[in-house]
Amino acid sequence: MRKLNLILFASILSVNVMFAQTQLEPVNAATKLLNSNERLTIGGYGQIDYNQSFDNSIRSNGKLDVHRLVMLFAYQFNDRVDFVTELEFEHVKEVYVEQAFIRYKLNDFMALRAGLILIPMGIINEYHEPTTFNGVERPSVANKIVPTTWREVGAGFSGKFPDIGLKYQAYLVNGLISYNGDAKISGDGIRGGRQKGAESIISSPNLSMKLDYFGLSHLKIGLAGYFGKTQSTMFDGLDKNNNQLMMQADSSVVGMSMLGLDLQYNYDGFSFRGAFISGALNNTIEYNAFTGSNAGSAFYGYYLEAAYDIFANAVNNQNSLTIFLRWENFNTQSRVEGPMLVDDKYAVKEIITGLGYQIADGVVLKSDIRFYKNKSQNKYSKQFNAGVAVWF
Amino acid sequence: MVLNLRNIVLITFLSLLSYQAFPMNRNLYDKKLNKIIEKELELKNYSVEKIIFSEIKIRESDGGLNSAQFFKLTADDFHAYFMIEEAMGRFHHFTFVVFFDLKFKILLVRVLDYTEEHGVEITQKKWLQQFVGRVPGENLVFNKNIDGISGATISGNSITESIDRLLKDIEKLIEKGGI
Repeated sequence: MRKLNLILFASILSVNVMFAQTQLEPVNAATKLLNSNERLTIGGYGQIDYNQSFDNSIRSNGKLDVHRLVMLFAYQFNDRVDFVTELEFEHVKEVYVEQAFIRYKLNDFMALRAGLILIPMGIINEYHEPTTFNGVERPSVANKIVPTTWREVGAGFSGKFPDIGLKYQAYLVNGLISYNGDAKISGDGIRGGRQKGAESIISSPNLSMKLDYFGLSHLKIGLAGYFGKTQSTMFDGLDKNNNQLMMQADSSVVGMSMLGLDLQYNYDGFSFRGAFISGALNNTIEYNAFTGSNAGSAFYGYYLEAAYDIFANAVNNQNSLTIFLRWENFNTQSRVEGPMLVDDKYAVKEIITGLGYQIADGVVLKSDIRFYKNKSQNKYSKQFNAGVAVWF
Repeated sequence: MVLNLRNIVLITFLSLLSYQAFPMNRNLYDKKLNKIIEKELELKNYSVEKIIFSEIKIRESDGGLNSAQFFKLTADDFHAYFMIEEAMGRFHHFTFVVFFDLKFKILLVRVLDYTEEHGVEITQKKWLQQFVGRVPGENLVFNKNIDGISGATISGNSITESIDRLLKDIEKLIEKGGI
């Protein structure tokens, strides 16, 4: 009996081995998962920066900063379900979770995402690894207008139709907070309202959507929309019959809508990218009156960037030396409602030009000069930046 | 009694295991492959057969190839080889097919299966067109003679490296007289 068992077992094994030998053609991802430890992806990125303002008459200290160091972990539970997280150390001492979501593939065209999600708006918020953008620092528009890294807890769908070159995302997410005893939205923009999924409060969910079209040669076009209301602690424990308090709470939030268009073009060592973001806030008269803030009713920002890899045609040189020029224009308070006037200091223009020397796939040495001024200033301030960017 | 319950369970389990470990492979992509062959290569009556190169030569050539990867595609007055390969995207592997003429010049590259949304831009046919006409031994570098593609840095790099390696391995195999 034992012998027979053994024979049966051995024959099954041998069938296995035979199969294994004849079917060595590339296995599909599912098989690979079954017999390897490639379920876990570990990655990371970081940027270490030197920022030095300079002026003919005023001396400034420079800043040396381990600006961000991010560890990425992704785990595939099976062929359909995976989890992605990014843990960030910012300025060495602050710890954040940048993303943490599960992705559940429903079919070839749709996946469910839930958790701490990046808001798809512009280019940099989703593709923020420092080797993927030119310049030591991210574009200012991707800081002041799109409050990068903008992420909130939510759920929704993402998917793709490769045959027609389309990707989409649509999420219900938590919105920015506008009031928690202090005003969080101001003339300086919406950046202060990010909750980052850290004990965030919700009083009304927001909708975030993006379409990306990549069906044209060399060109990718993105169109994003964001709609909703900000969140406020005033709604917590609120007596629904108390009109006075209800009105006060309503004055502590603003309605928010944002549209974003982005373009990216790559051809023969030449690359071009641009992002145009326009936002509107409503209820700002009531909000400013209640909170004492100076939030505008509209804000916008755009940048245009051209770059060229000088070594583009040197195939034997794996490195690249990219020279770039970027023009940015943004205003966090471009329109106001009610009795107040626009403050010119929020209208900013920037010109950044510099070099990126890629010494390995995923390591770029960068330096640039940034000229910037707001509308109330006559001359441009100058800043020299240098940094190391890595992504693996 | 040989076939007691325990044995039955054991045998069933083992056969299931052995079955599961070897799913459809090429069959998985057959539908998509057929579509590419019929629609894009515009072939009607064709046959696909596995071709076996000398394993010894393959070993001598010191490359990463194995003979079971190669298929031959034959129609009336059309002969080509194709290979199915895998490369790594951001979090998932993806599968693509490379068609060659009989001198191993690339005729067509298509992605057969791309799981994630991240980097799906590389499935664009116009971008993949850059690989057409490349010959064994040719040096392909992403962002150099293969244009970069926005949003797909990892996948773009990965498929470029993979095809670059394929062409180099094939060149070595040709040198050794294995093909």
